Amino acid sequence: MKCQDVQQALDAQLIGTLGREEAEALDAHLAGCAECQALVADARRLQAELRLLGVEGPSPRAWERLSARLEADPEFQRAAAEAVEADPGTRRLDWRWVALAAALVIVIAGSLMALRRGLGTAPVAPAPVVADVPADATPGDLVTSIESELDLAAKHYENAIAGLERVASETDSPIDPAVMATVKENLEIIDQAIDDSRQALRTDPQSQLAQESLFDAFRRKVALLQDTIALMNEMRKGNPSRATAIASGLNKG
Amino acid sequence: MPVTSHAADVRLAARCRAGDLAAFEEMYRLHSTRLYAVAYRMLGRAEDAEDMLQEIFLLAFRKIASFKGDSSLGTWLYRLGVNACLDRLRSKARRNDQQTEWLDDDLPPPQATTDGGGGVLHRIDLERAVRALPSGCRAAFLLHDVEGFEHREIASLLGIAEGTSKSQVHKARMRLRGLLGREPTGGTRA
Repeated sequence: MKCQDVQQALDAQLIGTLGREEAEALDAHLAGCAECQALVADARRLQAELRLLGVEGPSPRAWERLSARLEADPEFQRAAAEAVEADPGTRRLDWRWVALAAALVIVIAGSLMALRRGLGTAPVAPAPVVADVPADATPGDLVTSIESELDLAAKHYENAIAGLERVASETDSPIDPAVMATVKENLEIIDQAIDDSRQALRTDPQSQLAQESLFDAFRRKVALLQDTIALMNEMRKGNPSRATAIASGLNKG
Repeated sequence: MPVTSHAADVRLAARCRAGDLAAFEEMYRLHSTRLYAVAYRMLGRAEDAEDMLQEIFLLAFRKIASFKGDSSLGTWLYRLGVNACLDRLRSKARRNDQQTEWLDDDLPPPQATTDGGGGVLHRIDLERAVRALPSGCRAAFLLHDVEGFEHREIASLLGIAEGTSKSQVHKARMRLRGLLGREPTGGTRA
C-alpha cells in the first residue's frame, strides 16, 4: 500500500467495511510511514471523540414538551379517537373513563339534590317543587320519606360506583397497588362517615350538622373518585408527572 | 441503538399510529438519545438538537404509516432523523447563502484554536471546530466518519457526486486537524 491509497483504506476502516487483507496492508504501511500514521490516528481519535458528543441525551423536560405538542395535535387526537371507536374494548379507556366520571358526577349531584329535598334544606336554584313530603306530615312520615330518599340516592350512587368498578375490573389497573390501597382506605373512611351521618339523620332528620356532614362526605367521595379516575387516565396516557401530582393529592383524602 | 424484536417494533408502531401517547413515550424513551446525539452533532448546539428532536418525533407520527417493518423501527427513525437534520441544514444554508458556504471549496486554512489537549475545554473546541465547517462539508464528514454512511449513500442524501462526498470528508478531516492544533496547516495531503 502507498500513501495515496491510505485515504480510501481509512474511509473503509472508519465505516467498518475494510477487509482483513486491506487492514493488514494498511497496518504494514502505517508501521513505516509516520505521516500516514498520524493522519489515521487523528481520524480514529476524532471519530471516537465525536461519537461521544450528544450522548448525554435530551433534557428530562423534552418529553413533557413533546407530549404536550402531540396531545394538542389535531391529527394525533383524531387518530386516538378513531382507534377507540374502531376498538371499544381497547385498553386505552380514556373516553370511557371520562364519560363514566361525568355520569357519576351527574348521578351523585342528582342524589344530593334528592337528599336536600328530602331533608327539607334550601334547594339549589332553580327551586323544584317538593311534593314528596306533605305539609302536614308527622315526624314519623318525615323520617320514612327521608329514609326512602336516602335509599333511592344510595341506589343511584351504588349503581354508578358498581359501573365504575366493572369497567376497572375489565383491564389491569394501571395504578400502583400502594396508591390503590390508600384510595380504598380513604373510601372506607368516607363510607363510614356517610353511614354515621345517615344514622344521625334517622335519629334527628332536622339536624343541620348531620345534613352537612352527609353532604360533605358525599362531596369527598365524589372528589376522591374523580381523582382516582383522573389518575388512571394519566397513567394510561403516560403522563407520570401529572399522575404523581394527582396521586399525592389522593393521600390527602 | 436499543435491540427490539421485529414484532415488538411493528406493534409499537401500530400503537403510535393509533395515537397512543404511552406507546409514543415508549418509542421516545427507546430512541431519543441516539436521535438527539445525531441532531446535536449535525446542528452543533443543544437547544437546536432538542428542537430538532421534537420535530423528528412529530414527523415520525405523521409518517409512521409508512413504517412496514422492513427495517427496525430504530433504523427507520434514524434515517428520518438524519434527513430532517439535513433539511434543517439546507434551509439554514439557503437563508444565509450570501454569507456562508455549503461545501468546502478550498476555503482558507483554519487557525488552530486549541493545543489539542483533552478534557472539557477540548470538547468545547471540538464542537466549535465542527461548527466552523461549511454545513454540507460538515454533514458529509459526520455522516461518513461518525454515522458510518458510505459515500454513495451520502451522495444520494446530499444530492452531490460520490467523488464530491469523498473530497468533502477528506477536507473536513484536514480542516479539523488544523483547527484542533494537530496539523500545522489545513491543506490536503493525498
